[in-house]
Amino acid sequence: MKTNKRDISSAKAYEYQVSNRYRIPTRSGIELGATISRPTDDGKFPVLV
Amino acid sequence: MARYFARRGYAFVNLNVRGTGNSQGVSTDEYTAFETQDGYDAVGWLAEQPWSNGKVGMLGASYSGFNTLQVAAMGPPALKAIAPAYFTDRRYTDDCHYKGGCLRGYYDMLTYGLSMVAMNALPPFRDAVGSQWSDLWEQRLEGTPLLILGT
Repeated sequence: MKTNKRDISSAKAYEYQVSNRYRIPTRSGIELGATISRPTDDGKFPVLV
Repeated sequence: MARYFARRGYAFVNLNVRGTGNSQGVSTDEYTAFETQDGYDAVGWLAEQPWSNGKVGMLGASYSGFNTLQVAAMGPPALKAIAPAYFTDRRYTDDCHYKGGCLRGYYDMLTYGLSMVAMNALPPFRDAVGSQWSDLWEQRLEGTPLLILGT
């Protein structure tokens, strides 16, 4: 069976930025604090929580 | 872990449960309905950010492993994968608080119960929440029993 595996250990190494100032709104009205580390490149990336 | 995934093209999110870390609100218990609902809302918000491709995954161990299951059970459209570790969906038989349906008194009410509740009541980081720092912490302290804070 053919699989479509991507070896992320050999993928491009992105420069990234980190911020602990994200505020995520919720339907109950409170805001959740989040620290997000993400690539500095333009583009859209998958998110891991 | 954040650096590992960010360097490989992911936006990695450390999310604070309500009433903990830099979040508003008060932590009243583990795995509340509000907490799961918050996770659902967070997944949706993250998927809509300009740097997101709309696909969100969740991973975690223990408490956060439970959270992945609980949020996934609600079916947020943007959640595409979960990777829980050291988790269970049988909290009265296979959890650290209950084993075989029996409450582990020493662990649940003493070790974990006192330490976790007290840690949850710690202040948020001032540089993360700015001028609302003291209000957030005051709300958190007022919502936590004094007996616990004294430990």
